[in-house]
Amino acid sequence: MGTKARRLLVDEQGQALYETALVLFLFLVMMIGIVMFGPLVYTRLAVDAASYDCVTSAVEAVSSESQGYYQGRVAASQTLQGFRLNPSRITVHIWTNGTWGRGARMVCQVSYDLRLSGLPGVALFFPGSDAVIDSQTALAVETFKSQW
Amino acid sequence: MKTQAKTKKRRKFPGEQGQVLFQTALFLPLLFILIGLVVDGSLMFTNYRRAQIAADTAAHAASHCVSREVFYTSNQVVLAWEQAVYNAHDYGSYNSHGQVIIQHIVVGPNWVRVEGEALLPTIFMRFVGIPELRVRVVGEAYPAYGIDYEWQ
Repeated sequence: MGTKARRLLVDEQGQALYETALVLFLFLVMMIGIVMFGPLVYTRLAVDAASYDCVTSAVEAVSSESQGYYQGRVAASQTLQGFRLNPSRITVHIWTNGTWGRGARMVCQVSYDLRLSGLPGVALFFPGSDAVIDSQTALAVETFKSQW
Repeated sequence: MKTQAKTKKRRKFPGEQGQVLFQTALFLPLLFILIGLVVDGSLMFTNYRRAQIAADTAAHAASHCVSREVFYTSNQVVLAWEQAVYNAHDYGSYNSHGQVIIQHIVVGPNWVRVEGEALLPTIFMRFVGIPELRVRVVGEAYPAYGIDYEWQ
């Protein structure tokens, strides 16, 4: 082995830089994973709260089914807006199991189209990370509440 | 003598190669533990909120069960125990997807309290033998009746 090659093998300049480059990739993936996880949990909480608010509002309307649906939609939308989520990505489905009436089971499903790929680095390391977060809550239409 | 000892030491620790890798290997478990706690804590909190919603809806549904017989005979609002318990179990399990075990349903004259236990599954903590955590959830509700006008 030549003297020059031997000197290069013994030379430790830039060693730390080289090793840092090796582990940096792993750290980067982990950090982006954490960054991605925050909005996911936040949206999950928001959507759960919205579906609960939606159904508790919907079951209070005892005189008309459409009024119940309207109240539910407004409540879900306002809750999600309170969480500063984009209203154009919200979908609210409300339905009644069986015939609507006092005591009937109403179900409210709130979905939010979460675009995680907009976050820096997410699309690169986690392609296809956009997800629809949804939550469903059921409750019975008020049985003895007076009409007004 | 001194030079010989120095040479021996240097042979044992030949250089600074692998310093960063060594430090990374040292701190990586710590980082994994921190990330595990963050992920598990967040997931458990979202599951806890879901369980609380299940307990609240269970209590709300149970509070609808006003006894008609008692009302017709004495004009009093009293909850029908059996129906209230059935409703609480029905809505509690529907809304929690089976993650809440309803333990006590206390039906008062015109209120109902549902007490349950939520099973919060873990991801990272199961590697240290904690596959789930159990927390207590309580929901309370009062029946809506006799309202004559809006915002009364």
